[in-house]
Amino acid sequence: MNRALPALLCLLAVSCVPSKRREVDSPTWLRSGEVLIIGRVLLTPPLTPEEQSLSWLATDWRGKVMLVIGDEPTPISRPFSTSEYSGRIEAPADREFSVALPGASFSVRGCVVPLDLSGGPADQAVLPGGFRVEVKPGDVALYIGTLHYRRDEFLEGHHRRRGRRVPPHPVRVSEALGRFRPAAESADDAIPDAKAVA
Amino acid sequence: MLKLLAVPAPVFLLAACGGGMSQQMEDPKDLDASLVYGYIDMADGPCWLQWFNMHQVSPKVEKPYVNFRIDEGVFYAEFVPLGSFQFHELGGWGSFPNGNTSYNFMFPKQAEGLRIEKPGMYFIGCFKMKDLGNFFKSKYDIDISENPGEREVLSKMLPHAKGTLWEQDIRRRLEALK
Repeated sequence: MNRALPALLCLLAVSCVPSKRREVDSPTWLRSGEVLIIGRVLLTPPLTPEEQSLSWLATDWRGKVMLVIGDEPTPISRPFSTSEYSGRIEAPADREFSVALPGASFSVRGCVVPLDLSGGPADQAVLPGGFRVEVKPGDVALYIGTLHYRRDEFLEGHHRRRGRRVPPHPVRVSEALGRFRPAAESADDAIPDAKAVA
Repeated sequence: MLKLLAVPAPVFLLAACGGGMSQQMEDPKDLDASLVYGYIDMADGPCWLQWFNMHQVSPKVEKPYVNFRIDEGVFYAEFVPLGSFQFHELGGWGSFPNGNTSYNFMFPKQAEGLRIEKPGMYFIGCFKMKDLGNFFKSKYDIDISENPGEREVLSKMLPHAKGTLWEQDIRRRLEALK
């Protein structure tokens, strides 16, 4: 039972995860009013297997970065709730994503990297976004380019899009991080910089 | 009777040795070792601090977890190698009325950390656990605290450094903080 409980909790958690955007390879697969969005998310250095603790139910998410989109470029807040995965774009690490979206402008709020979905409290890295993708009437397919995140060993970093530095996020990445994850909660502060004193 | 003894025994042992680590410091085996220390006030938490560790995220090593020695909220580790570290987990056994329960608090993997590029003494800071829960739901957070200061933390550690190379370093730092 001790082994089954985390698996059951994980099953429950994963089964509650809202659906992702429909992946399509060609405009011919689009439904009426939809537009094909193609792009790529690059994480440098890439995630290593040790950095993600995923149960067998979520192994499909290994190495993937989840793009969170919305009408407004509202930063992703912490704690990140499972319901916010709704309508995510699953971006594979090694290739471009290609999804069908409603034919309207949208904003990339940021990205989420699942770090711990092993049955206990979930943990994820939240990466900044904050830019808008304009969809014009008659657009069939849009290439939004590569969103390139460079991160350090603490999973903090900045991002560039199409080789151009995106304006700084209104909230410093480290300020948006949860410092503490008791049971199923998290906070919004960060560990202060430690200083060498001798 | 056996059932009654089975639980208090490990609780007593853990309380006595700080979650498995002795309070007594040792001479560094590695010349690049650093002393990392701080304090966390758990008075508002469900348990006292009995274990606390951090995770070495860079460079990758076979045993990446560093356990702190603990003395009444003061945590310290004198064997920390060069590298980058993040807080990983802290906890303890519940005190009355939460007895017989193990509490573990995890830190998120995406957070600022400690980057040690040269050996030395690193004061991480003082923290205080806050109870933000209510009758129906428990919720805790930690916040930065001004008290006690680094001097008090070092004074608490000093007896545990007696006879080691760290003793002089701690005394020197205490002098500097006067």
